[in-house]
Amino acid sequence: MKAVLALEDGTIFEGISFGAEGEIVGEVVFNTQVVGFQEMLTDPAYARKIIVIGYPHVGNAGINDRSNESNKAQAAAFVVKEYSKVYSNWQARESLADFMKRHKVVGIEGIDTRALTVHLRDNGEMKGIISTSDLNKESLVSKAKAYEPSDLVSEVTSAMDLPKAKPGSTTVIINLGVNNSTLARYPGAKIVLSDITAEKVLEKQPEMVVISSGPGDPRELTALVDQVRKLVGKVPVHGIQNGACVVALALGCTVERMKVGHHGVNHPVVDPRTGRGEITAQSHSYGITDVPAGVKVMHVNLNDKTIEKIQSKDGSCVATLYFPIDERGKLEKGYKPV
Amino acid sequence: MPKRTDIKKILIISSGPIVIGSACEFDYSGSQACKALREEGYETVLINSNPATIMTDPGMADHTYIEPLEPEFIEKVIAKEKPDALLPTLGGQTGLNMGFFLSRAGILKKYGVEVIGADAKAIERAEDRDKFKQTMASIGIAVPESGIATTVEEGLALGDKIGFPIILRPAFTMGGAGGSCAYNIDELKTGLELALDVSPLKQVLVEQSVLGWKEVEFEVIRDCKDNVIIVTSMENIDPMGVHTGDSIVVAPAQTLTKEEFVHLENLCKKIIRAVGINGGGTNIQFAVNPDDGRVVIIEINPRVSRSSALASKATGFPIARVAAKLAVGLSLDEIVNQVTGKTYTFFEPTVDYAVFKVCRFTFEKFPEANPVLSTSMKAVGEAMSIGRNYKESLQKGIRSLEYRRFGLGADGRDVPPELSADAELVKQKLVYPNADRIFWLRYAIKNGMSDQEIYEHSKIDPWFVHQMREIAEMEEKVAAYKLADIPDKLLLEAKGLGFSDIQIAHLTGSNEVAVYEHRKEKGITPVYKLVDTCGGEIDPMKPYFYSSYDNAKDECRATGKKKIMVLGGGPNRIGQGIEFDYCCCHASFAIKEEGYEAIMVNSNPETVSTDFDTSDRLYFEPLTREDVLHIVQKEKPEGVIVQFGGQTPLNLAHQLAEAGVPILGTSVDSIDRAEDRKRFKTLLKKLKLAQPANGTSVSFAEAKKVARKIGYPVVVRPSYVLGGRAMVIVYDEGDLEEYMQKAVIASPDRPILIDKFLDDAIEVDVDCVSDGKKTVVMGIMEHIEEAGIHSGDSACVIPTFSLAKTMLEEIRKASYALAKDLKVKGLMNIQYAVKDGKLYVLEVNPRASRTVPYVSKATGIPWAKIATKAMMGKSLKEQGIDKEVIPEHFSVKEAVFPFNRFPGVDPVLGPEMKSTGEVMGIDHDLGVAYMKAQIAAGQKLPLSGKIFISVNDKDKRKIVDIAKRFDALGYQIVSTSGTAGVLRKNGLEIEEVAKLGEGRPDVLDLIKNGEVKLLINTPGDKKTKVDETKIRSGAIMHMIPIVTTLSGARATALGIEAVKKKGYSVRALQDYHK
Repeated sequence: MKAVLALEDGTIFEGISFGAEGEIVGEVVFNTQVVGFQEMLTDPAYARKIIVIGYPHVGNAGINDRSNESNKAQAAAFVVKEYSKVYSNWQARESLADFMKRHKVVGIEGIDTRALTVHLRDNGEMKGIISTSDLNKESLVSKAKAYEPSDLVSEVTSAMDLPKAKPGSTTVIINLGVNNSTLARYPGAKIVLSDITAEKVLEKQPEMVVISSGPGDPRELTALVDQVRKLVGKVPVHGIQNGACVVALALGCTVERMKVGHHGVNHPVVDPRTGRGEITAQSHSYGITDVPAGVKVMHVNLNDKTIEKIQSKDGSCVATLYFPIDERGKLEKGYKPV
Repeated sequence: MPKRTDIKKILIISSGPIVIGSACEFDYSGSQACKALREEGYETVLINSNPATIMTDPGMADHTYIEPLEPEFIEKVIAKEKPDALLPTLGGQTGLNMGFFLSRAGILKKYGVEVIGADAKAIERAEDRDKFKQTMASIGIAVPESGIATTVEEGLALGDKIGFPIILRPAFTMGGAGGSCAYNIDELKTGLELALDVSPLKQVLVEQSVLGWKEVEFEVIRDCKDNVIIVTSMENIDPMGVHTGDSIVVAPAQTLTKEEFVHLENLCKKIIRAVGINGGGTNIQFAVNPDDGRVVIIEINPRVSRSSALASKATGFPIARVAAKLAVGLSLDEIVNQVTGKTYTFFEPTVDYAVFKVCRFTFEKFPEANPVLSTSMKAVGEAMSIGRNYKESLQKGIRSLEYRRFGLGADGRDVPPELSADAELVKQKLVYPNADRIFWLRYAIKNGMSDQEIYEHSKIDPWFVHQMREIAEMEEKVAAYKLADIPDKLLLEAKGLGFSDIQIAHLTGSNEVAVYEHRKEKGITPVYKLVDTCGGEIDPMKPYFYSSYDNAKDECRATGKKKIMVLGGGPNRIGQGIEFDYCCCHASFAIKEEGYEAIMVNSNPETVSTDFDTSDRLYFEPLTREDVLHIVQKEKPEGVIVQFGGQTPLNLAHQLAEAGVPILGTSVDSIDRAEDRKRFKTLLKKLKLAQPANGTSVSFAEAKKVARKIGYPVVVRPSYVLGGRAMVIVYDEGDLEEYMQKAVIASPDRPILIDKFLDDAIEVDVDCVSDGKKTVVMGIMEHIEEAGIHSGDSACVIPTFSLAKTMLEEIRKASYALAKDLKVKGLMNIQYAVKDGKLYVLEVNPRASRTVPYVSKATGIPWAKIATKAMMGKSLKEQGIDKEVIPEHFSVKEAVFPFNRFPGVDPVLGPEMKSTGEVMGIDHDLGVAYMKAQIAAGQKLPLSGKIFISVNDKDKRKIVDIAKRFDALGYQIVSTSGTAGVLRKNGLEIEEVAKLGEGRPDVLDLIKNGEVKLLINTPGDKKTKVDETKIRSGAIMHMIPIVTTLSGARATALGIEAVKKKGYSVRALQDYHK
């Protein structure tokens, strides 16, 4: 079935539908990863996004039970060059298209995703629409323009206590759309809703508070920023990606939308004093652009020199705009070498 | 970290001649290293015996030594140059082995030389099988169950413990040389013997087989700050059991989940840290069980490699350049990524295209060899293709190979239906890996075999199988139409799956040109996309290009400037290798010097020509009519150079000229006058030049007539071939008939050439350059071996040593006359034979020849550059080139052969070229220069001990003098009865040994026990061939030098004499040409 992708600037791409049919609007972002379609699809940080994958083959390894970043598909749509008609991996349970159908994720293939990526790089991330029902270009462009993102965080936040391995104090994770990779690093953590108060957090006597990654514009989370400000100095706070933006705002930093966000697994993050660093995974569209006196810039992105990690004066408060790939705890355990 | 200032002068050991497993990828990496170190201000010393390389150009390093890569010579270079540091990781396994050896032997310590790039301990942890196992165990990484054996008995005991099948891997060899797979005790025993023989450490790893597991490789780099990056992953389509150098490889890996991917990447990081590489790169190979994801590590190579060259070209990330800079203390975050121009090398490249590496084999040259692929590498070259999906890329890759296949079948060249429909045959072809397996896979699909069945037979992952199925399905859709009524959408889709015009023509009953014109009319043409290292995330400064029919956006960056396009040589093969890449690179340099833009088109990832900074724009494309024409249409070059890339671009010249493409230099008609036998005969007659009696024929009946008229023996061959493909000396009609039957396959649409064979003639090669008015001889080369041995396989010398002055004058005159009449503009190579004082013209090639780089190194003049400028209209006079340069020193070129890869193949020389590479020996004494060339070529000629001499009856009289020389030099001569009798009659004391089957110990025993140090054995007739092959092949496998011609034997005796008198010394090329 025919499908059309329209961008708010009037750019049109025509392709073929795969996965769910229908019509979906969202912000269009590109990702330069070669693998990891299942992780992207299920990461709450990608909630309601239209993800463009530059790499031409998507779906090769199918969907498995281990790779979900949350319990459902979060992204609105996938834009790919070629959906793999077969999948081949010993862990695969179903095809990507079947999974997308079950989770109502719209897919469009046959797109020159390199052209689209370059277009987004040059013109910035923008709103877009994919439809299999309305193929009228003007109508689609106007619908894309009219799209106003909803409060995504309140849609994806949830609360639960992770099983505890050993007794003792624990980490509280304020859930802006946390993914499983992050949770794997904090066994026994208490996950709380994004509208929690500082008092409620402190009642749990955490050894650390993590503000998770998540979708949307972190600058709109003003209530949470106020609560986090109250936590600063009382308990170590660590913000990740959008959570990092929240922490940064609480520390008085400036947070702005980036022209092109960081969406990929090859972002070099270095300590500017030594040049030592890590290659990191990132998926965020907002960045920290200025810090007040007293807040230290610890790491920067080697490519575009954007701030990647800041720290409060006493070091108790840390904000990182990346997931270090090395620290993906779940990959280390449970894997079965010979 | 800033670069080190405590070292000033760095020695780079390179890899020597092109052999299977160590090819021109090391010219690429060595050139990169030289450039990178000079950029940083270091003084560089380079040692490499291979004159056909760009890196040995006098401008690349400060001091260039074309000397054998043996410790004795390297020590002399060290003593002379006194470098502060040695960089052994840029010269492949040869460089690494030499570095390791020099370190162990205390030579580096003696001269105060520090190893940079990877220290001796790290090299040991990576290369010594036992230490490697320990290191992997210490970080919890599984290795296949295995043990080290140093004797056959130990190996058998280990085999008993591990269970069959078993893989044998000798330590410290390259390209898996000497490795094998054993399914039973007999195979294990012979495999162990061979492996122990070839391992310089006499160590072999006896290993549990993981046959059929996925083979996944990574290129990993670590700097002195402990920053680690993964450059790319690669997945072998042919799973474990086929050497990665022989496998079809895709980058990046395709069938892993992200979790598996990240797991392997994390293992890579652990490994590079544990091995202790802290300023360099390594290749890491894993096997992954497709059924449960279990992972074992196979091996690592702590150096640049064939895989790292491929990874560099596949991603745009120049690993060798970066490795050289890391070795002197810089870190990844300090080195600029030159492709983007604005980011650094501390990042991980990503791609938005699919890359294929396909291999070029050469089994047709070695018909006795077993054409099954295994753990010992056999490919002689490779092509890389890029597309916006795997199908596009795969089909481009196949047509890049220039096997005269134009995609995955359906090109009019498939095997007849009775073979492709033979279910049992197809199954066999899937089960036993072979060079054509991919085509058999298509037959299997066509025969209705399922992806799963094909997987079970071949162990090729169903994902890849299905890609091929999609190609086969498209084939049927296209075949339903005639060209005129094929829907545009379908045609575009087919092109998007990589279908060539030839395939579409075959499927629609049309022809290539018509399909091309049809597409042009309909606007179905490709766009160009970028290799930019970053998947489109950054607007790059210096990307390179590939075509695609994914056509929403054309990123072609053609300018309106004046430009010249150079067509490269495609994949290496015997007869067409690095020499032509050398010429193409020089063409590019010259074009740039003249203020034009240089546009390069090539498909070979191993080369300097496909380096991102050799030309202004690089198109990584197959060299076929449509692919080249598409680029011409975008770039609109002033001219296209077809005469430098060997036969590949030359074969396109006609078609391109017909399509209106301006061909630079000598006209296509002149090329045809030289190649077309009839026209050539007329030309020689006109110029009153002699050629051996000859004729052409298209049938056996005709051939018989011609041969009778000329008189046997005759040389027969197809026209328009390179490297003497299918060329043989025929002694009677029976052989001629046999040949005519086979030859039809060798070159279907061109006649067979028949020449009188000149016995015992001296062969002479002449290279010259002309600007259309004036011609200058670049060099006259006298062959060591007599005419009848392919010129590419003969040793030759500049200047000549036995030809009379008058003869040299005659040769020059003939050359000038030929150049003038053919209106040569550019390079020309002529082969002459001198017999009984008479000059014969054997062949004229108005194009770059294999010897151009050798002549350039011998004379110190960059001839390919001069020729390019001449083609562009700059006269030789304007360039200051007015006369032939006759050097005072001798430069001997010697060929290097792949016989050690093909056990059981007779290493005897003939008119069909078999060598893969060449070396050069240079000295003021001819004998010493010859010896240097021999040693560099791997002939470890002994200075004392026993030598075995056995020659055919024809040679028995002439061997006497040679034997006397060896006797006088103190050698003990061993012979079989016939030769012994003759030598004894002439007063020599001979030890007699039994012929094969006439008692023990026989010759083979002496060879195996290392009792004889040199074999001189000239081939007899068909009756003795079987035994002789065993002897000669045995010598090759046991690395005992062997000489198979009388002239070679004579030169060897003279060489040894000279060395015994004078000894060896080394001298930089720059000093020879001061």
